[in-house]
Amino acid sequence: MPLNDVGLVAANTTRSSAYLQALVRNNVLPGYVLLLENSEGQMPGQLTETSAAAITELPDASLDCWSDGAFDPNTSVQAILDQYHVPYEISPSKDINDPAVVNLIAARAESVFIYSGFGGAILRQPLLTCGKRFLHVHGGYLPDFKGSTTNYYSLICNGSMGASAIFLSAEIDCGPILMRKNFPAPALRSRIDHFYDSAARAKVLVETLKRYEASNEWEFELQNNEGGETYYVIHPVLKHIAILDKELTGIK
Amino acid sequence: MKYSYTQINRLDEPISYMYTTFNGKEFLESYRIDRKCRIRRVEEAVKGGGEKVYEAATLDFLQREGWDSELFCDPSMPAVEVVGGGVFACELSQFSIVDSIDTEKLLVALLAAQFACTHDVIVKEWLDRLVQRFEVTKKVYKSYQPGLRKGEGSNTSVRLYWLLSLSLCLFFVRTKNLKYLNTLLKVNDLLSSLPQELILGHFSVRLMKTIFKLELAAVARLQFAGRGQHAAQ
Repeated sequence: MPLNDVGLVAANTTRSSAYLQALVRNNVLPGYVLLLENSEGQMPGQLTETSAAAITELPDASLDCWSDGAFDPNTSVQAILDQYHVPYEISPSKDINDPAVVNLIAARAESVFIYSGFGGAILRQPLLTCGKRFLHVHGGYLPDFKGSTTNYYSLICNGSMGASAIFLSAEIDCGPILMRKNFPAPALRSRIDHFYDSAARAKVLVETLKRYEASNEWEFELQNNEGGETYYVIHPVLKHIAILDKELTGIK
Repeated sequence: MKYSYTQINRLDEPISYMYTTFNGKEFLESYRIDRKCRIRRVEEAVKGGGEKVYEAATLDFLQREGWDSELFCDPSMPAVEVVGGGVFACELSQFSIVDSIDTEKLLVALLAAQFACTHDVIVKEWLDRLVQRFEVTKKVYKSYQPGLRKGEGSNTSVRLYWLLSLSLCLFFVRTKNLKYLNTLLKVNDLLSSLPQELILGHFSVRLMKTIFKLELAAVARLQFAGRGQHAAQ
């Protein structure tokens, strides 16, 4: 059954593809999708390998936490929408803050939009005050790990990853938390960017939507999402340390 | 494998560091080789020159924080001089977010507070603002408008990048917070990418070497440390 009061702003990225495949698998599809399209070069979040092998089964796929990790990154968002007859339209701009996009979203009947645009984009006014709430799944356990690429930092600090569903606010990663989960370190750490990170976020998204569907209310795990630390795009040296952790330390 | 992040002038061509590729252990080795090469180039440059005013304070700070003095002491170089004067007279309390900020004065005041191990909370507030500006723009400006959002004036003063690098070093040593090591790596990539003649003459050779060696040591500690020693403080 589609969630008629929930829309999705998607882009042709591995994350959006993972989200949609997870939503299909769990039967919690949005009622409408706005697709941001990019016709010029590569945008953040889009796979650079044009022939990346589909990962249908990860070594740790049997773990419940990674149950939404088996998705095909080569399946385009549009193909999924067409296959499952999800109503959608192509955005007039790839920029989520473009006035034409803001007006389009504001005019829609859905009150909540899941946001899954291009990496690095920040939602600004007037979009944040257009009358809709934007549900975003942050790749990290909030409020401890705010900012960018936080799962690499938490792998080094705690040996774990996280994902947190929030409603977006003006302050980055400070909106009220609907649900948050910790995840164990993945078996294939070199696949975090385009697979495990998306799988963790998809898992939390699905569970958040299922909870909403069951109660018809948005319930919060933590309203006050203040404090914590804000991290920035991880330097490749630290990224390699996070990925190579087990090899270098010999920790099993 | 060449460490690609320092091969072109990063003041002219900043890098976003987004979605960097994984290249295995060889990448970490290429980073180490590149930094050590830069340290050698600094050593081979004109001996002396560059201010020494932070040397004694940095040595003292590192020793107090339990870091190996081998990072700093170099038997081939003269003993560290204690340089007096009012260089540390600048107080953090004179800065306000609602005023325009002279970046050099702010960084000098930050370092003064860090050397004195005082006002950690205020040091973090100001350093976080500078980190945010650098991470977003990959530049350090001569001054900033009120709110410390928009930079003004030149962003090519290498001295400012050295001052920021030293401040990040000290704060990472004190807090073990990866956030500061992360930005330190990027600032040092930028410094390492510059022609030799641009990076010399601001800090002493000993201090420049210490900054790079401390970064290398911090990375090495991370690779071989146990779990839980690197959480944000």
